[in-house]
Amino acid sequence: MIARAALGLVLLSLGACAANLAPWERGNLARPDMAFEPYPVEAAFREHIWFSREGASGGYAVGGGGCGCN
Amino acid sequence: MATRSGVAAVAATRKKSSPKTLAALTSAALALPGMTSHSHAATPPTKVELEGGLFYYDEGPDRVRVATVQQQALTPVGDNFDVKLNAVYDAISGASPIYNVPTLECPGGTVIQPTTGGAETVSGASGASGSSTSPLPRPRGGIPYTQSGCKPIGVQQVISPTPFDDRRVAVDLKANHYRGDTTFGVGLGISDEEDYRSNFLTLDLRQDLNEKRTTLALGFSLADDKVMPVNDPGFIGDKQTLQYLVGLTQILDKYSITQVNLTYSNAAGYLTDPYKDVFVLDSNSVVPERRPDERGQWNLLGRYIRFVPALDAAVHLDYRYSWDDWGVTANTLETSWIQTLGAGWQATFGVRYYSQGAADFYQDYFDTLPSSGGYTSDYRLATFGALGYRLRLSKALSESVRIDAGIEYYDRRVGLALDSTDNSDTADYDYLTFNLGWKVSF
Repeated sequence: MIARAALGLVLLSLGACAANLAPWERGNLARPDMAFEPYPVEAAFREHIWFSREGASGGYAVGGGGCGCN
Repeated sequence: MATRSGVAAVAATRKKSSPKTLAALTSAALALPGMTSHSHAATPPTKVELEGGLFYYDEGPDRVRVATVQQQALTPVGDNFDVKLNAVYDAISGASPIYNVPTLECPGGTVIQPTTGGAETVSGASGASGSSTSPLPRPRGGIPYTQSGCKPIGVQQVISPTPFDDRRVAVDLKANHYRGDTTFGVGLGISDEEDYRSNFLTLDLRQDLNEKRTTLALGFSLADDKVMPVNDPGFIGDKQTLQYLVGLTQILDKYSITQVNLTYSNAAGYLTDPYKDVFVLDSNSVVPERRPDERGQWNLLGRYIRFVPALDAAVHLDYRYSWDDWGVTANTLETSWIQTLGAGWQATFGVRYYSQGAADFYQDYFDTLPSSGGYTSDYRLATFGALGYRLRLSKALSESVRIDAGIEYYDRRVGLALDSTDNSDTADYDYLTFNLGWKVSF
């Protein structure tokens, strides 16, 4: 119950961050270069390299298979 | 620039809007190019998109090179579904580091060098472990180097003398269902190599809130992997990985958006790398490495994107803090500047910094093997830092065709680590990647 109330408060305050942002004011945000992954195929390749060469991995999404990757 | 002027024209009429015109303007705004397909809120795609690339990864003449071709096809199915098929083919060849050997200075000033080619008795397609190699000369009188007062004065990395060739084929299928402010996604895939096989399942849910200004994401994935080392015929190692994600995306204002993700991954089973060894000084021998059979990894990721109207550019900033129960902690900071130029051209400049601390059970080499727990000399679990620089160019040939080219340089250095230690720099290396890409929508 407390957790739900807290989540509600967080969401309410987040909503206040962008009050009155009408759909036509979101044109900039809808640009391809404003996507979190503007080039998803390239992003997958780069993340696969780091997954194979660095001790930490993940955080951006879940999924994908493991590999031998030596 | 049709989008920007279109938006400005629509915004200029805003004051007079009645509810009816409001609705009309909203749908007009959503009909603007790029408005729906890349919206942060969940909306189904309206076009078929074919996106692919050719990639080349090169660590240098005696090390690993990978040539990759990847192709994705995304198609809407009815009004509320989409399906995406993704296929990757990697051709992998070269050789990898397998362990490290010290150079010693013994009482009386004698310098003991690793016998060059000490790894030549190592066999197997990917550099076998468990050989009976003695990388240092036999100690005088049979007294172990650990007991004769010898001190290390350097460390040398041993690369597998036997280059390997392999190929990896990965295919995955993902479907999304859009239902009001909610999107459900299901994905299935496989990744297959001569000595490795992975099957995986992904589930995710996205919920738009606050009139689509906020998106809550939940994700889960399961991977079931098998390792079949070519240097140990008949052995099969099993590994299961569960991953969880909770994320929040928030529109801050009409120019900026942010995202925070927390992920947890739990891997259990055979987590050892069958092609990595450790050198044990006491016995002057090389033995296969061993890792714990469980690993929990956490990531906290923050992302921020800002559009700069005066320059027609988008700035991306990502920071990730990672930690796990093997003792590896890492900081990753990445930024990129995407500059829109005239005539359909776009240039991206990016810099990425990565720094990690070593796993608890990592050492360049071991005096004696620990009686319990794991031991590894895998350079990927050592302390190091890395800087990556990239440049990419993109050209829209028409409304529906885009081509890209990119180059990235990555420099791995022990000295770049935030928390510098006395680890040797013998494992330092760099790599280059090149890529060509395409995207066609219709």
